[in-house]
Amino acid sequence: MGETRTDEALIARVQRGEKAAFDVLVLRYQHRIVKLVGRYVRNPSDALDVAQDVFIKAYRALGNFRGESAFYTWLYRIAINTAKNHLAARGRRPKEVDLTGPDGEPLAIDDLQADDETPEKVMLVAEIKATILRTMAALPEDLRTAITLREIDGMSYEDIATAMDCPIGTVRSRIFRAREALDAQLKPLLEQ
Amino acid sequence: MDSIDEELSALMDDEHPATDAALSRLLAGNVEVHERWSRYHLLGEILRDANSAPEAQSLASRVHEQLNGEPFHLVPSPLNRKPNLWAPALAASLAALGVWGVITVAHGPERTAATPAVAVNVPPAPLLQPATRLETGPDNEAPTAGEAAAELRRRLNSYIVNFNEQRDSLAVPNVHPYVRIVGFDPGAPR
Repeated sequence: MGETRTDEALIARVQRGEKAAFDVLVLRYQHRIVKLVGRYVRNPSDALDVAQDVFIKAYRALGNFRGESAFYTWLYRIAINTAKNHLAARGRRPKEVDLTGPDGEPLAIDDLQADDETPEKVMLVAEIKATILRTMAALPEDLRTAITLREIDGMSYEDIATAMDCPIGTVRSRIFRAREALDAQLKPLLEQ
Repeated sequence: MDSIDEELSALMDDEHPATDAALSRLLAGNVEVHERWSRYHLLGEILRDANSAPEAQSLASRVHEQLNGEPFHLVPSPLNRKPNLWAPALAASLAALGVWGVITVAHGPERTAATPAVAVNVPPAPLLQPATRLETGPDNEAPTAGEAAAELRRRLNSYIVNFNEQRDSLAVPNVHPYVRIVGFDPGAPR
């Protein structure tokens, strides 16, 4: 969703030896990668281990990253291969299903997602979902519209500014305030 | 922008007007700033797909721990690297060397004496005559290097074609056909 410029700046810093920049990349993509790996690897604990392995491999291979594709696309492929290798090492063959990733590659889902989730995780996800939806509904309309156009529709600030007939600075501020309001509800849930 | 948090929000959308400066402030930020950066991304995931993975919050610290002992990446940034030309240059050099080698073989008088012993095994001449004999002009007109190389290639090709057509009748047990081809003597009378 339009993360290329920031990613490139972070990658350049990692390649210059600024290791902390890689931490920021991990923080950025950890949820997506764990979710992606979780489609292959049933056990949530194993999925976390595999996701960790994905980032370690990415760090070690970052010297070869040429920026020909987006960083997440590159990371995505590492994640898919690592998850498949994990299953192969355990003698389990992933089932191919009709889902595709960013590159159009079929996703292999090891099993239904719901089967491998612990009751605690199911409850936490449900609570987070309900809280976020409730908070979204309570947001002032201009904030809700701005964050929706950005996060769900993937529009640029410039396009949102045109759509909402306001300056880009206002869009930036509205999106931030919406995130701030949502984060205020999310943070305590994650700290439980 | 008012705060580092607002900068985070713009950075994650790739909409910060001064990416590098904002990244420096993000990298210099404390744990709370980094956690907020992560939660902002999680919020996006939740808004797009409620089946997100909140347990991933702990992953970054695990990766950080494991990478603690890793060396820095000191390679030049491939994003800014100029095109690498050594491979095409090497290939061109090898090709030139190969052409020079062919020309040398075609003209080198010492090659006549150095003909490998396996040349003795060349089958009788009638079987290995080229299908069409090429006229290269009067003997006193020395061919250029390019013409000599082309002639050599034509003759080699002709030998291979003829040999493949007649290989059954030439079959020698345990002798690979390639042995016969390398026994070709460019200085021999035609």
